[in-house]
Amino acid sequence: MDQTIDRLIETLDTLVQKGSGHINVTIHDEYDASFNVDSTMNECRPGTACYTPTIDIDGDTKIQKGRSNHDTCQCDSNQ
Amino acid sequence: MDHYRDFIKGPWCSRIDVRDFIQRNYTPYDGDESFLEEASDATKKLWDQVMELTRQEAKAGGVLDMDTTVVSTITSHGAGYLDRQLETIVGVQTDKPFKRSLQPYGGIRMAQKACADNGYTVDPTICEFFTVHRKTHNQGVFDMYTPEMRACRSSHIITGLPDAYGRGRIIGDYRRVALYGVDRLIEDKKQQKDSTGSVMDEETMRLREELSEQIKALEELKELGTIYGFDISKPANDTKEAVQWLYFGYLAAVKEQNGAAMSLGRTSTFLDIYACRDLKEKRYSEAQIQEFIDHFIMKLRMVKFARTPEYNALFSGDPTWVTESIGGMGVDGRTMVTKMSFRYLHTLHNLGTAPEPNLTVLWSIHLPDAFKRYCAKVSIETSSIQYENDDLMRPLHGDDYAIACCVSSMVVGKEMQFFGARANLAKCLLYAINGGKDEVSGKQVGPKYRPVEGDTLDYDDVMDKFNDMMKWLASVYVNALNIIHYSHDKYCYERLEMALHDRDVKRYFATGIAGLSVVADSLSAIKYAKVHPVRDENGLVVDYTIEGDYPKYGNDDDRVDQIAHDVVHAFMHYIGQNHTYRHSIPTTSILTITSNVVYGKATGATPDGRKAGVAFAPGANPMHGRDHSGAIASLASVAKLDFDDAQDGISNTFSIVPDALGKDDQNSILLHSEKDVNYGSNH
Repeated sequence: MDQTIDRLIETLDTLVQKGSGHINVTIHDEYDASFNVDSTMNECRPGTACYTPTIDIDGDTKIQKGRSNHDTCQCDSNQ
Repeated sequence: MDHYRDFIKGPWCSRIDVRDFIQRNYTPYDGDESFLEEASDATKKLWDQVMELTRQEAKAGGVLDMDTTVVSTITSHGAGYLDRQLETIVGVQTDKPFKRSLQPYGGIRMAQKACADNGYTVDPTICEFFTVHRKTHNQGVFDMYTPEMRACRSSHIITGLPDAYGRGRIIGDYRRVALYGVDRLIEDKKQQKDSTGSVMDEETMRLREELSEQIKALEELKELGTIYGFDISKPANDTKEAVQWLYFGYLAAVKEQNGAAMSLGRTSTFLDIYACRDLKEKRYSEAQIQEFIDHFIMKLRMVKFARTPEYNALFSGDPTWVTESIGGMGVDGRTMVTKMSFRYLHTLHNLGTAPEPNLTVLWSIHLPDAFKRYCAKVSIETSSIQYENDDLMRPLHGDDYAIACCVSSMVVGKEMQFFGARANLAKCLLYAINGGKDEVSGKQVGPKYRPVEGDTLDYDDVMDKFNDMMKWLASVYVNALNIIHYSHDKYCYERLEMALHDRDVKRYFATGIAGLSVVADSLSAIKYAKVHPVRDENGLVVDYTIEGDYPKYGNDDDRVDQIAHDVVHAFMHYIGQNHTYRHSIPTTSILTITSNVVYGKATGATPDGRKAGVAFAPGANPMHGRDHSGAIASLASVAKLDFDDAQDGISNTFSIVPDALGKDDQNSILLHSEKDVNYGSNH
């Protein structure tokens, strides 16, 4: 956990210094789109998980699965 | 008892100035989270009740109950509770939790449809009243819209306009209710009204009428307190009252307005001043203070509006954007982080994760290390924190700004924004190609310019036509928004929220762009490859074939990145050529991170090879799969867009996979990053 915290702080500091204005952070657990009923309030925050392209440093791009149980959500887990 | 006992006095005592109060009295905190208290038994019981109601709501199809007989006003309903004995902070939008209010002032048809779509029927007498006797915002707009504007709306070249629902994006300074009490605020508004000019020009008359409305709203706010058994005419006396008074201010706003974003402001540092005093006086314990905050946040999570399926599709769900801005630095170099910053974030543990309220940390590299670590920890455990760049926004707004919706920064109580949705520039390009005809319906929507001719698109020819079409679109768009905001002020005025603003408010006139990367790639394809239009039997270009390759936006290639830059620059230039309502400052944004899907569905095939109906990329993102040169190159392309051209915000949504961050095998961190300071929306 400590290592993850350090990396996240470093990333946020770097993005802020580079001029990024707005940053949402979502931790993905194996891109699991499933939700249990107790998490019905954990609806996706629009934009953080829906139709979000994932890109790695080498340039591979894919559409990431969303974290939502919204019927109307457009993330590809619902398509 | 002296409400201001032990507070350091200053100009805030003789004028409405919450920031001055905060600066003189708050206690920065650079310690860690070890002081935090767990959820009380009462909190757990109440939250269980909320979750049970949530389950019932989901089981009922998304809406548990709707009011169909009482039009929601600040005082329209009696008191409602989860469990009166357990709640330390009280108040719900109607007379019981999870019952959605009826708000027809934005538009009766929208209210009727929201009910009908969920199996409810609005009382016919209310329908008649708001159809025959009382005009709504929606009716006002459509009385003024030109046929051209209506056509643009129907064809989705301009979409998501707040012409049938509340525009939102206005943050009342709810802290004023706690600090000054309602009587003092009323007195101040009366003085403002007395100070208007005696020459009754249109502006002065409107101001006087609005101030009268604000005063009435404040009187009703006081009555709302009475309904729940509180006298909020006087300043709050302690933490519990400060939270309750503040919440009553917010509750009054959401009882009257169902705006697309009903944000809270920047309240934690303010409330911490009361908490520090109460702890010192031993009036309340840390556990009690945390309980107040838990119950307050619980109430904010319960804010709900009646929406239509179309609205939910546009916004990818039912967000309320109860954004609360936390932390940041002061202009004097002190951190604005207090123990209350921790307490707010701690609700994500005590109550569990949730998208609302939209807890937003104003991140600075100078934030205390312990707070940074706590934020990171909570982020990792809950995925529920948003971050904004305080180091960029503070020089512009000072240290008492907050975020409305997702990114719209404004000084609390002094600035507001007219929300402006989006213009679909990809469709605009297709109109340029088809001489103003819509590529989906075939109808003449735009001006009947000469369409492109021949079997291969010529870059210079298309650009000339596109510039003409953008100029036309900017004019129709801005003028439609002028109508919308005029009508909203007239028929659905945010009187309570504006009562918690200064008299003279700085207004931003927000506009937006959708489909930027599609336009950039399309123009690049036309310039660097050969694009052949495919026409239907009526001569309408409905598809394209591409011969050869072309540079694609998102690969740090100036050939196409410059096109994207120039398109944004040109469109903002055309926007700025138009008159904007109430001396507002025009801005634009490239932010569509949800409605990009809806916009794409309504747009035909484009010259970049994108097929009809395919979703646009979000915001200023490159199109999916085309940024094949890596994250740095992708970011570099977006970074070439000039912030001066899009001061409402430029969003670039991407995630960094585990390898890129060197993370463990279990998690990846998704960062939604926006370049530069943002005044805009994510809608």
